[in-house]
Amino acid sequence: MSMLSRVADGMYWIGRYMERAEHSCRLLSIGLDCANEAGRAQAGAAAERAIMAVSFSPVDVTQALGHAEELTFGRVEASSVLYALGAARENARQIRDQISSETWETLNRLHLRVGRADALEAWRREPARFYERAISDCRLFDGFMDTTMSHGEGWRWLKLGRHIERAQLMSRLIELHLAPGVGTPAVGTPAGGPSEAVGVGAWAPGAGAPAIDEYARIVLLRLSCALEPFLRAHTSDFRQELVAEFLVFDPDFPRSVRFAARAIDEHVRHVGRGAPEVRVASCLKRAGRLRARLDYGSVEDVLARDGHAFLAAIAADCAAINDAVGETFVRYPLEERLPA
Amino acid sequence: MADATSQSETAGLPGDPSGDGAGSVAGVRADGAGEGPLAGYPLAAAFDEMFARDRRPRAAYRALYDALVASTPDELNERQRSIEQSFLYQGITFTVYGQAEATERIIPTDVIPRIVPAGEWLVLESGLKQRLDALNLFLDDLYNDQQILKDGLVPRDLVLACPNFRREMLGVRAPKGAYVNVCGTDLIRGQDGAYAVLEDNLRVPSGVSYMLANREAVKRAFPMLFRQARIRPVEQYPDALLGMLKGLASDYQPDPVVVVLTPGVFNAAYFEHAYLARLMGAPLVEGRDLVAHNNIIYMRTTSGLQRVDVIYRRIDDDFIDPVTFRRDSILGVPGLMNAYRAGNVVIANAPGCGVADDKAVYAYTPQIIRYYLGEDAILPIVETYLCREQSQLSHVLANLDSLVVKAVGESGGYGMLIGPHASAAERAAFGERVKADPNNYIAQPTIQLSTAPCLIDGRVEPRHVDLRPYIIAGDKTVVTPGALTRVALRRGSLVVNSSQGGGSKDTWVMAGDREALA
Repeated sequence: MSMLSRVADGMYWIGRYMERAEHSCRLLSIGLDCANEAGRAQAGAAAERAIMAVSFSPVDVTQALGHAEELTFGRVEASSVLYALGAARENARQIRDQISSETWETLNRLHLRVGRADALEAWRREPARFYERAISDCRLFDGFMDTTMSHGEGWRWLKLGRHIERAQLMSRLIELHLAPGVGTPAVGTPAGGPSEAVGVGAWAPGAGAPAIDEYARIVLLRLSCALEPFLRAHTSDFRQELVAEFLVFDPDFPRSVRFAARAIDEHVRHVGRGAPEVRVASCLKRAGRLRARLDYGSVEDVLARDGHAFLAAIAADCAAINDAVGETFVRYPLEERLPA
Repeated sequence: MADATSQSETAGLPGDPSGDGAGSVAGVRADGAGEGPLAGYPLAAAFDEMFARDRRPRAAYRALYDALVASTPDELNERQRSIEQSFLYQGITFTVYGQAEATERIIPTDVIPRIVPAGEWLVLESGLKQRLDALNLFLDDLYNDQQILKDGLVPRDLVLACPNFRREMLGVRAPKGAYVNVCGTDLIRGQDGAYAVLEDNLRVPSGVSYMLANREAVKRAFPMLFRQARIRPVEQYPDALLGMLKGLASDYQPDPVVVVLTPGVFNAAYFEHAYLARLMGAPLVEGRDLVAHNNIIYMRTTSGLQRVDVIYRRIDDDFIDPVTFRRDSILGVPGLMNAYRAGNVVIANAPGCGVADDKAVYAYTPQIIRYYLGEDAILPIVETYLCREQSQLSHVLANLDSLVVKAVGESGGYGMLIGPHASAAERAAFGERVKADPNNYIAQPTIQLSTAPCLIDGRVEPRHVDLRPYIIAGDKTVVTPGALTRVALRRGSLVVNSSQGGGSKDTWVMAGDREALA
């Protein structure tokens, strides 16, 4: 039987919000860890970048704990972990009948734990442990999703949302680290206010991607959950082009942008069979374009003068796929589909 | 959920049909209601489900009694906590809207099961089936020939003035003659233990998911006991429901598409809607997912519009179709009634069923059963005074201090007077309202509902309960061997409604020799 459009939409957003929640937990945990490395000169900037990649707004690294608290528990803050988990759960509740009980209960329990009155206290006692548990529950959710749900259309929508979110978050995280004027000012001018160029900021005119120091590259790998897989591939050779290549183009690492793009392409091919061809074609075209960008691109594109544009285009492709599948499978005009 | 606050002297109700009293049990401790967590269990005027008057546990409760006596309060509390936690994780909750934000609460549930002996159940089963068959015949008659009105058995004006009588249904024949497809009937027991029907819920009865969830939880809490007691299963309910729903369209569709229509996640019974949809494998749809075109109902899917054949709706009549009923409803599907009347989709329960569970029509149900089936009602109803009759009105006004007076159009325990609990001024004021609009009121004696043992803060105490079994009607009428037992959790309270602090408990129907062999 085909799937209700509302259900597909719900699945998709569960995927997106769960990815965001897990990503934020990892970034905040590592960001706080860096902020505590007061004895290391570059750590403050690394902490700032990590937290900024969650908030998408300027961060004062001396207030790292305050920022992290708001980004974890803020009830209105749309980028907070609690908000993302709440949104994932609310979507899941609205389509509760479509999700396996194990998957639902894992999400429900995680949301209850993070939203509980004593959660803040537990977080203050030991943030790292708090995030570790949350991340582990997110992965438990993934595991249950893959092992207890049929890999039919609903699962595809979940996966599609997950990977679109992942491709966007990863390309932004990488961009934030390679964009000049974002990481550097805090290093040189610790007293200076938050930098202007935030998140999706522009490259400095006329310059290529600046080299970030090795410490920052290692932190970037940790933020991407990629340190151990990277070491397997390149041992401890942390050259910038190797790091960038791995995070953007590695075909096998599940958090690389290319891996996500391939997953997006595959899942788009498998949803909503029976929608009008011309509409479906526009979805496939967009997904294919993103995939081709990564299959045929190279690390020089990322580190070149307009490397920023390369990463920004990935985020734009993701947004376009989001809109195209929404218009094709979920919010389509009824007149188009009424029987004659 | 509907109210069960009524009540009364039990005069006129027949005796305990099963004959299952403590007298038939040999060798039970005479000091029964007084050990372990049961220490100090008080027996008052109400009939107690577990203990006979001589304080000995009834035969059906013997094993449960022994298990309770052998448990420490900590063990019982632990079982109770584990059930509550499991409900919370499963999301068996309803939403309470406060000033600042909405919070979700679990439905209070009690770890100690209520037990119905096989013999008692056989009587209930045949009585419930008889009752629903008669009410379906009554609805078919009301919306078609109206023979019962012509014969003057039920006053025509009483029926036609009922807000749940839907003119839009005139001339409509429900598939298989079943207007009511899912019924939850509230039964109570008076002081002598005799069962009586308090109310029929024929529109969108809720609570069946709690019957199923309670069973799963209590089975885990008392595995050995459950096994020994030979309890009839209830898990087949969703299958039976789906089978019945498909059967409603089987005359013209070999494999009909069945959906569950919910008002959405903000509805108090949303958990149940999602639960049933999941267990039936039927899509859970909201009004906005459906569209009517050329009198056919479609749902909006990722592959385009797909035809829907049967709608198990969990939305009241008023809201299912803004073109036909309330125009301000945003929950329903514009054009649904026309598609239904054209015979292109089945709505279960059929619109307009509510006229048969009207509080005034209720008083006529014994006659309705006799009229259509030529049989006496197996289950009695609670004695009911219709204030529209002059002689009964004066009786009601003269006895306000002992009666429960209810407005016919209200439910959930609203718009009523519990005479013995009201002040003289309240009674006088209510009496004026009754005099001003007598057609709108009925009165019943105040009944002490039976009590069942419940775990309250580590102690086992009696609380008033009722019993809501679920009956499915399509090709045939089937009573699920189980029920929702609703509990008034406040000591002494007779109000079991979940909206007013009520909880629930699992209900074990024991297998008789016949079922054990099957």
